[in-house]
Amino acid sequence: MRQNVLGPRAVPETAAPSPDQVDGSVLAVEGLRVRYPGASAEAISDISTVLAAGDRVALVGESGSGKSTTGLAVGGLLPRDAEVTADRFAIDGRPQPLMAPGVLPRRRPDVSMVFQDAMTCLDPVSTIGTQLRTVLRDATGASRAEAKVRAAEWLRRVGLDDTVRVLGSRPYELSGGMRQRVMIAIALCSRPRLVIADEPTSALDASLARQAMGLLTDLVRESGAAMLMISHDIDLCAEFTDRVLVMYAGRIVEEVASERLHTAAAHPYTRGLLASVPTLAGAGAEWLSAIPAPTGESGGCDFRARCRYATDRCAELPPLEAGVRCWHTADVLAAPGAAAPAVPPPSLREISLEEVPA
Amino acid sequence: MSAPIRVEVDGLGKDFVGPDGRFTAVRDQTFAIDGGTRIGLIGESGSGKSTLARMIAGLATPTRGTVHVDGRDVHRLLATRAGRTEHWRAVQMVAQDTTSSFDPRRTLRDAVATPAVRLCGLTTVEANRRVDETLAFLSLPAALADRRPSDLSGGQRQRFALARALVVRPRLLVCDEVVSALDVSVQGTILNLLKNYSLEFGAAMLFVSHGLPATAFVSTSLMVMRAGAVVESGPVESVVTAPAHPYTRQLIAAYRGTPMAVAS
Repeated sequence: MRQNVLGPRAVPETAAPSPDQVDGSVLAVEGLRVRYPGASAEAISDISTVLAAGDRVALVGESGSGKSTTGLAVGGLLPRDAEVTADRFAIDGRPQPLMAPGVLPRRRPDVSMVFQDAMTCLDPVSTIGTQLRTVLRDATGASRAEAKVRAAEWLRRVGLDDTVRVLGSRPYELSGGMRQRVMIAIALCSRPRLVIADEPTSALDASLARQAMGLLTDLVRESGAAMLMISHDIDLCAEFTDRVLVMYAGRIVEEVASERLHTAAAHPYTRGLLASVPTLAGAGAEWLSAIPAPTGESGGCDFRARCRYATDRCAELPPLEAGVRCWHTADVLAAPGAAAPAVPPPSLREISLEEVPA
Repeated sequence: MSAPIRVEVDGLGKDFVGPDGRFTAVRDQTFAIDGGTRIGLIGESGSGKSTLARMIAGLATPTRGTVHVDGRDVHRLLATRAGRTEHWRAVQMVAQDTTSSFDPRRTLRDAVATPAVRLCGLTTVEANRRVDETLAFLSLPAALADRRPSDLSGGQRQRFALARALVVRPRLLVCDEVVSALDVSVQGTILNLLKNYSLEFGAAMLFVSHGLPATAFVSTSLMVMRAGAVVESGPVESVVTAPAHPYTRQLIAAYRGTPMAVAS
C-alpha cells in the first residue's frame, strides 16, 4: 500500500492499529524516495530500514550520497517543494504524514535532531535558558517553574556545570564544544523516541568529537530512544553505533554490523572508504589510497565508473542481497585491499595534456 | 627549479584587540623552514595556527617579530610592487574557504592564469598551457575552467584554489585546512598530489590542519600549537611515537580510539 502524499496532521493520530504497532519499531521506513524540484534524478531512492528502541544506526557516505536528505525526510524537515514518497513510514508504530509540496516543514513531535553547526541552529538572540525552557514547556508540558529547574538539570547532564552562566549566555558567548553540548541537551530534553544526529561532531576536533559522541550515545541509551547517526566519518560511526548503512548516490549499498565493518564489508565502495581513512599507523606510507573522483555517470550500479571490479554486468542495478548491493561481492571479499589501492600521483613536471579528462 | 627556500620566523607574535581588551593569538614564536621540508602545524580551533600561517605567508601583519624569506624581511618586501611580485612568486597560500577566495565574476581560467602572467611573466599562450598542465595534474577537466566559481562543487573549487597556487610553482606552499571540507575518499588523492609536488619541485610546505593522521602523512615534521604557542615540535615519527606534551599525547590517544579526559 502506497501512502498518499499528505500534509502534516492529515493522518489522524488515532488511526486503526497498523502492523507497525505490533513490531514495536521506533522507525520503520520502506521504499522512501525524495526528489528535489528541477533535479533529474531522485536524491534518495528506495531507502528501507527499521530501528527498534535502543538501536543505534549510522548512515555513512560522501557528500551528495543522500544521507542528510534521508535524515531530513525522517525528521520532516525537507524543503517545502521536495517530493517525498514511501511505501511505509511509521514512527513509534504510527504512520507518519509525508510532506506535501508547499507545506511548511514541521518538527515531528517524537523526533529530535542534532546538527553539525550549533551556531546557526541555535537562536542567536535568545539565551540558552530561554531556548531550553521553550522546548521543555512545549514538548513536556512543564510549568514555568519546572522548566527552570529542569533546564539547569539538563545542562548538568551534558557536563555544563556552570549552569547559571550558561543559561544566561547567548550562543556566541560559548565555545563550539559547549554549543554542541547545549544542542544535545535541547534535543534530548523533549524525550524523543528517535534522535537523528547529522554530522554532530564534524565541527569539533578529534578528542572533543569522541567526548561529544560518548555523551550523546549515553544519554540516548538512558532514555531508551533509537538513534540515527549521519556522518562521513566511517570509523566514528562504527565506534558509536551497532549497525552501519552505507549510502552511495542515493541508495543503500551495504548494511553491516558495526563490529564487523572492517572484516565483513563486501561492497567495493565501503572497502574504498575504509582504506582511504588516513590513520596514524599508515602515516608513514609513501602514498595514500583513494577512490577515483566521481564522474557523474549513472544508470545501473552508480559506483561502476569509479569501481575496479566493474564489468558489463554492472550496467544493471544489483539488488541489495545479504546486505550488499554489488555483483562482485565474492571478488571483493577475496582481496579486500584491492578496492582502493595506493596509486602514485602523476608528475607535474611530466604531465601530458592528452591525459586531461574530457 | 630555483634554489630551495629558507624561511626564518623570529619572535613572531600577533595580538587582536577585542571587546575584552587585547588578546594574544600568537605568542612570540621562533623557528625556521628549509627548502623541501614539509611542516605540519596542528592544534585545536583557536590555537593560533591559522594566524601564524597567515603571517608567514604575508597575509597578516605581525604585531611583533619578523619573517625572513631568503634573508629578506617579508613585510618590508610587501610594501613595494616589485617586492610583492617577488614574494608571491615564491610563497603561495591556499585557504579552507574557497567560496570567498575567488572573484565571483571572473572565470576560473582567468583566476588561475592571472598569477602565471603577473608573477611569472609568462605570455598568455604560455600561461594557458601552464594552466592546462596544472589542471591536468589536479584531475580537473579543462572545460570546468570556463565556468565561474559558483558553478562548481566545493571539492572542485578547492582543487581550483590549489591550481591557482601551484600554477606559479611556489617554493613555499602554505595550506590552511585544504582537505578538511573534502570527502575522505578524495582527500587521499589531494594529499598525494601535494606531497608529490613538494618532492618533485623541492618546495617547502606549511600544512595547517586539525586532522593529525593526514598531516602526519604529508609532513616531514610536526609542530603542535596550543594557546598561541608551539608546545612541541620534531620529526613526524618522534612526535607520533613519543609525544612529550600532554596535549599531544591526548590528541594521539584520540586517534588511536582511546579517548582520555580533556584537561581544561
